[in-house]
Amino acid sequence: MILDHRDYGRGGAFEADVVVVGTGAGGAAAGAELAEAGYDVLFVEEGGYHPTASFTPYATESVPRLYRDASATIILGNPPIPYVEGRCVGGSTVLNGGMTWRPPEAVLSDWQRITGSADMGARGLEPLFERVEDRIQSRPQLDLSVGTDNRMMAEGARKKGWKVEVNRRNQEACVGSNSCVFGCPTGAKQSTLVSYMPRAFARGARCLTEVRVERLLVEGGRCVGVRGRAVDPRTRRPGAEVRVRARATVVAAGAVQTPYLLLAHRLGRPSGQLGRNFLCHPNAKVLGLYPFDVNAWQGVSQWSQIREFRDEGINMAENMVPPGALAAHLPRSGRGAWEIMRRYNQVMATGVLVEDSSTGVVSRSALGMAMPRYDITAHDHRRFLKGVRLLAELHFDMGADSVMLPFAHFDMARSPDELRRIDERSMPRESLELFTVHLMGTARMGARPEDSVVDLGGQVWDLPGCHVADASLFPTAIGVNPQVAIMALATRVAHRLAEGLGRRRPPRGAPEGEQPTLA
Amino acid sequence: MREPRPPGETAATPVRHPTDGWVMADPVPMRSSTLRAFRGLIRAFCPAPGEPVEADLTARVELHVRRILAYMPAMTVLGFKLAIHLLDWSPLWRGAAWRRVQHLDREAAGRVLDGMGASRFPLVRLVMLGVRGSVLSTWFDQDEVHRAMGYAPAPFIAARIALRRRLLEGERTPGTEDGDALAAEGGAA
Repeated sequence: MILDHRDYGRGGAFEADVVVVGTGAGGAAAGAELAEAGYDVLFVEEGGYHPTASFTPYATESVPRLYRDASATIILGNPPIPYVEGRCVGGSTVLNGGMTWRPPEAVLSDWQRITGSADMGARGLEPLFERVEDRIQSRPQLDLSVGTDNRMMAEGARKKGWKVEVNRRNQEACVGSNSCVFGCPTGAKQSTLVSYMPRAFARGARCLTEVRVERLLVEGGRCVGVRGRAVDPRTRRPGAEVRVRARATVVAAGAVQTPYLLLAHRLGRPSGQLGRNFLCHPNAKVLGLYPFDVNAWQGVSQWSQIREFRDEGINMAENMVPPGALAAHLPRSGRGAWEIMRRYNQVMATGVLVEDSSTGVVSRSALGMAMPRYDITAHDHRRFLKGVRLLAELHFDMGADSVMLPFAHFDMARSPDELRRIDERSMPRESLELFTVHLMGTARMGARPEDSVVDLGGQVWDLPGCHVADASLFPTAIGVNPQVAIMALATRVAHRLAEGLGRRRPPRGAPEGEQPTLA
Repeated sequence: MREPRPPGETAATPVRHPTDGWVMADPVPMRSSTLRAFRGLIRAFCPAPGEPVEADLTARVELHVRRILAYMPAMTVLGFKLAIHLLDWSPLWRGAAWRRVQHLDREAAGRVLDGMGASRFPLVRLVMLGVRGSVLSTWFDQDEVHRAMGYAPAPFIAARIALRRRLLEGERTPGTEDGDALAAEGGAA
């Protein structure tokens, strides 16, 4: 059952075994596991419920519906980094590119070392990865879904002797409609909207949409639920108060909004780490313009990645988006904008992702908003310059006549010779135009309250009854697309929580006589 | 109160204004002075007449940007309105002209604003990114502009939806193999 603004009247009070804040990769996975284990789960989602049938390739329709703050979200720092995240049932999984990479072994070794727990290592997480990959149907693309641009890029990289790997994506018969960023209109991408959430609903879970959670309910030093406000759809102002009381609370609002909520209660005091360790995988766009049609919008986005420079923390990939999204970052106005966009069919959009070498912080600002801050390091800066230069050279090698670059005062190269201008002095850090979609690490998981925010079961050290199940849990950056890691950790949180919750109700919607199970 | 769609729910018909029960927000009100400045910026940011423009396109862009502002936090909206005035006055405070953007011709206004977009100060660029990005994103999302670009997503997606439906029903066509095509081509190192 899904409720929206029309259902709250002058206020609402609900009860459940578990209330889950957020329906993205973490919230949906945790909630579905708990619902399937026989618990009464109630999701609270700030955004709306938009089924597959409502997805369109138009930015003007999709951005207000699906994106937090209509994508006007920014990480302050040098340079400032715009970011986007989902605000809808399914969260950012509705908008992402659908890559299903596991974290590399080296990352998982670090996690095991940092937490002191074998459960956080490759072997400990293996069954969870398998479970997640099965549920979101992680697999390679059908050949027919791959467009010209992806094939060109893989072939071009191969000619340079670079290592290219095909992505596994969460999809069932994806046919490459290339509208991932506005919600998959074919229903192929197995976002939590069409994978985990239906599993939860089938077991009787409920979802309150269009409610922004403002506070946790705390009684006797224990979290007993959440309090929020319905959002008036016309004015977008907070309206009726909604309260949910529950035996356990799972916060899965993402690595910016989760610490924002927890910081309101001055939590994380033992370590002082709440909001810290903010990681964001910044990336830079490099657009090749070709003297022939590439039609990059016809075919799946990010079929493969160039992983030749993975050991340096640099990944490269094709990443075509619809024109409304591409135009938001154009460096030119008027005729200059048209000169680029009239060649949209000749554009191949690619990006360089750099693995974090430093961390930032998310705080509650006096302006009533979450405020992420993050500076890239000199090391990151050098890697960006290297990655951009290599990718631009690749475009020229593949026949591009010009390449759009992510530098404030050098936005277009007309020949490979011009790429010599890319050096640290000429392109300082503040000249970089970056962007990100991977937000992680602000409520890190650990074995000791002195150096982490939550325990290995996801429970906040200084607030029993309150659990975290999203990318905030990551002890370090993972260098790959994070949804599988988020879902795996959220699954663990759900299983540990279920072990501690005890009494279950008869599952709603389950066949009579069927027993709930965690297996 | 609604019941969720079952797994494998109906695929989209890619049209504007989908009927999913979602109520779009009212446009954020602007004072007349802000509106005049904003219209000047829209004129400077968007491609000139002669490129694909229908009479009401500028009005549509203005209306839509004011509508998406409603989805932003109040402080962001306030910042956006301040940015409109900041950019409108930019020819004067940058010493580029003696008139505000709204009184300059389109080309001159665009040159001044593009200079701001290449500023060495990231916060100045950020102001530009916010205002210009929202305007251009809307402009390049219009059907007549799509047609001029040779971009036709709706029929393409409709065809892909139909193809996927056939695949799920068991049709086998070339390219339906589930596998690592790159490796098959000898591409993966």
